[in-house]
Amino acid sequence: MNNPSLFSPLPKESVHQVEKARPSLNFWQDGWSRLRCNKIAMVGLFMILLISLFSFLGPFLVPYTYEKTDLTNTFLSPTWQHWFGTDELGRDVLVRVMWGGRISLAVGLVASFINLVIGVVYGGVSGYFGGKVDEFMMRIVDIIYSIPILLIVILLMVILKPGLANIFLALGISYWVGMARIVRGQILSLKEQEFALAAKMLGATNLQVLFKHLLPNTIGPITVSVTLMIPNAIFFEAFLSFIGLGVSAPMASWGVLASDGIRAIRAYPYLLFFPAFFICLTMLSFNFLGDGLRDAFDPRLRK
Amino acid sequence: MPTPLLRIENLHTEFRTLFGVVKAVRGISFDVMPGETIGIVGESGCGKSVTGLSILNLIPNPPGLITDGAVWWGQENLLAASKRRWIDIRGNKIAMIFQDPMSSLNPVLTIRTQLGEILQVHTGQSSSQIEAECIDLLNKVRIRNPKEVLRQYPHQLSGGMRQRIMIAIAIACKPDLIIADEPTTSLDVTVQAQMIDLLREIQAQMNTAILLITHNLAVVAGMCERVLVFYAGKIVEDAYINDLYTQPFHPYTQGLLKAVPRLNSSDQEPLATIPGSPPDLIAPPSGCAFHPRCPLAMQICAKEEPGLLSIKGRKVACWFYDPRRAGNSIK
Amino acid sequence: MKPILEVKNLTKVFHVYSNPFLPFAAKAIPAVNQVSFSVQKGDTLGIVGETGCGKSTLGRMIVKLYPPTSGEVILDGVPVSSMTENEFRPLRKKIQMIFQDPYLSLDPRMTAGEIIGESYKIHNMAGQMKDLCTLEAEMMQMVGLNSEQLNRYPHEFSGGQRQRIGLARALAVGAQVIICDEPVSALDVSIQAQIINLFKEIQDRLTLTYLFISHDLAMVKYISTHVAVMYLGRIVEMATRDELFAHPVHPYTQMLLQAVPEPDPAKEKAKKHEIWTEIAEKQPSPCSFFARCKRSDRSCHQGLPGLHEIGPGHQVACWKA
Repeated sequence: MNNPSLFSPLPKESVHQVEKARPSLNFWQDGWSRLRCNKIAMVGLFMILLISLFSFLGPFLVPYTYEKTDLTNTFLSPTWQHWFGTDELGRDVLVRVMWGGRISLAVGLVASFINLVIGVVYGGVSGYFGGKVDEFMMRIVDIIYSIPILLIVILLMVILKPGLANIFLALGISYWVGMARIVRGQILSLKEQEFALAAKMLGATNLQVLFKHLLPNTIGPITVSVTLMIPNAIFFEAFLSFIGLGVSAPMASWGVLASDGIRAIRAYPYLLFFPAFFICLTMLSFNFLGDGLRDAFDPRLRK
Repeated sequence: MPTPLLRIENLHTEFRTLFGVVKAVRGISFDVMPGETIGIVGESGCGKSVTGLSILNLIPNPPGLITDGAVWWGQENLLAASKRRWIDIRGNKIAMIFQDPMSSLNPVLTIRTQLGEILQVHTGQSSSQIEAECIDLLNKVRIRNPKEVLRQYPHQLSGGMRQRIMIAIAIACKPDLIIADEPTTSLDVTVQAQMIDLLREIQAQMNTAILLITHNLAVVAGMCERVLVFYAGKIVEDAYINDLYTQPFHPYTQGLLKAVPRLNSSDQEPLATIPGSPPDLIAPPSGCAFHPRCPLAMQICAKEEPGLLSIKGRKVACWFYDPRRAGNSIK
Repeated sequence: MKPILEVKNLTKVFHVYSNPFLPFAAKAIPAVNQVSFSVQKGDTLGIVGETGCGKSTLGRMIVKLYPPTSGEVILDGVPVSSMTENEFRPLRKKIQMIFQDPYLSLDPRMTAGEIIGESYKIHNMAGQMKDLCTLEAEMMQMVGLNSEQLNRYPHEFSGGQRQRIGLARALAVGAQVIICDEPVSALDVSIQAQIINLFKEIQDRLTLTYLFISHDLAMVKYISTHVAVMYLGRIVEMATRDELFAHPVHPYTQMLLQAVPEPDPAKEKAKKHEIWTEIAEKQPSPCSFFARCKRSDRSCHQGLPGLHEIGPGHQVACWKA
């Protein structure tokens, strides 16, 4: 401690600028690391992956097809050969539930995607231009919002005739309004922020500011919204099939299976149980994931 | 030797974040005498606000935690006090004024309700007595039309008025100590000058001790007798105000005073800057936290942290003033 | 010599709807009211005032972010207020703005390089990709940043570094006039000095003209050649820097200068300010400062005091001057 050289000046090379040592994380990595800490959301994500694997790969592993009937083996309870039993035409319920998964998930994703595109563009334009344009566009949204979606969808399906493509269409054009409102709200608050003003000041056109600056910054709420839209789409599809307006036999969606199942509920409850269980499980998983994503992308929790 | 009103001993506070543990306060010790005004200055991240909150045990428990040290109020250690004791202390013996008066006042309650609340909790007065007391308090903070203001809501008042209300709430129970956390930072400069004078007058009348936390060296000059300079969670200099401003010892204090442009200087040389930026408190530099930016850095500064040395009536945490350094003329 | 920036009778009126059920009963609030000045190339005009004086709105009108209600902005001899956005766009290269908030003025989803490069892309000034990268790297170095950090996101930089990126963005396409809207107010004291010195150095190197908007009088004194004091939307005093700080004439300027605290304990403790809140009893007068003015009397009711010269380059709007 009494070494006089300790008090000699520190050479300048070792006096360096203290750089920020945090690893470079972009938006997605930052959100992902936060999502990972949320156990329930991770459970949701895991279940979604499992269900997807179940639905898309499962049929290759099961020795039955979804439409093959076997009238000697109708209404079998779950056994080792038919894990979920058979239905009134002897079709294996397990593989039909898997196919149902394919259809339900596909409907959920495609319908949500169509909603996403329409909602984002509509909400983005309305929020950005503001004023009378915004007023007018939002009144249209209010009108659509006040009509029960189910009625619209049912009417569309009655007009268009049941079929998978028409289901995509009907669901896709009915509840983009929620997304439009969310996007509009985000854009309204973002467009007064200084980086948007800076872009305008640099000379960007309105469309450039909207698409290159504002919309990318709303991806957080948009992702959350889409994730929460998917279970709604799945449920609606199930409902449509339940009331007979969905996919037609022999194609099986969970709604169709549930509809078949409920007719035999007293005698053969397993026919309703399995599709209903999968509908619930999928919806719950997407909801958990959506909630977790909302927390993970919350900009206030950054920095 | 008069006993100190408040004695902070080796306070350590930290916060758990996704990136690691941020050591916001790393061993702070100082005394506050009754009726003394002390300024705590430093830049963002130096731990001054956290110190103020730690004294009142207002650190949110996850993610923050006071990990070590004691806060002596007379003979008792406040950090070990019960919840009931804290209700008696907060607002009553030790009061706090926050930076942003808009978010510190409840927007849906009238001024009368908010000002009356603290009197209701700590004194047993009747409603009419509280009303009279409120008017008296508003007079003390020099509001001309107290009856009218009592009926108003925070959003109807200007920033300066709201800050006066905050001061009125703070002095309502005649506390022994007021902790003012950046009370003038969000105010206009003319309003700021009024606030400083008002606080000075109140301090003189009530003989309350004031702990003024701010990053503005000039505001401290108008109010305080003693100044603590904070850097990276530690005190680097503790001196009487005239000494500090005429002859700062610590290189950080010197740098800060030279980096502030003065209204009355006639010279036009460039502002002296402190190179680099404040350190990351998750992994602070070894030894003295200021050494990467210090023009006087020595070998020992990178190896060991200096303690607070008492020299010439003040305390400095700097190896430069260690008596063992050859050529050290300051004893 | 022709001034590089001239502003004539610039006015901006906002309509405030205080009652949602009566949309026609809106109050017209002039945020900026008949402001005129001119700035020569290479000078720095400091604009000081407190909250509500309209200095930020003024800055944004000059860059055409807000359309003025009336008045004219003349950039290098060309009147620009009545131009459409498409006509004005090529002129935007000449005049840029640096914003106050280092955290919000950069798009959090773009890297530093993309932020700087955006102006090149908008004005079609980048050749191939390689040219763009070189240009961006040059800009980073000019403002004192490491060009290896081009790929980092704004949240990875400190406040001072972000303001440097903001400056680089403004300089990228060769701005000659830069409006600085409180550029250092949100930074730490020691970093403020670094950034202001950088601004001064770049100004000397590139002969830039600054409009420095701030509420910090000492900082304005340090960097400006001329100063204008604003109160409630009007300029109340304007002079060269030395003249204004040595001989302030308008009562508001004097009040401001008296209120600015200095790091000098003896001086500060000797200062006395009026601590009572204002009286609302005074009769309103056309002069906006009348209610707070100590020197006001009956002659202040004669009308709105305009800016008139009281000395070389020194203008005041006050009947008592």
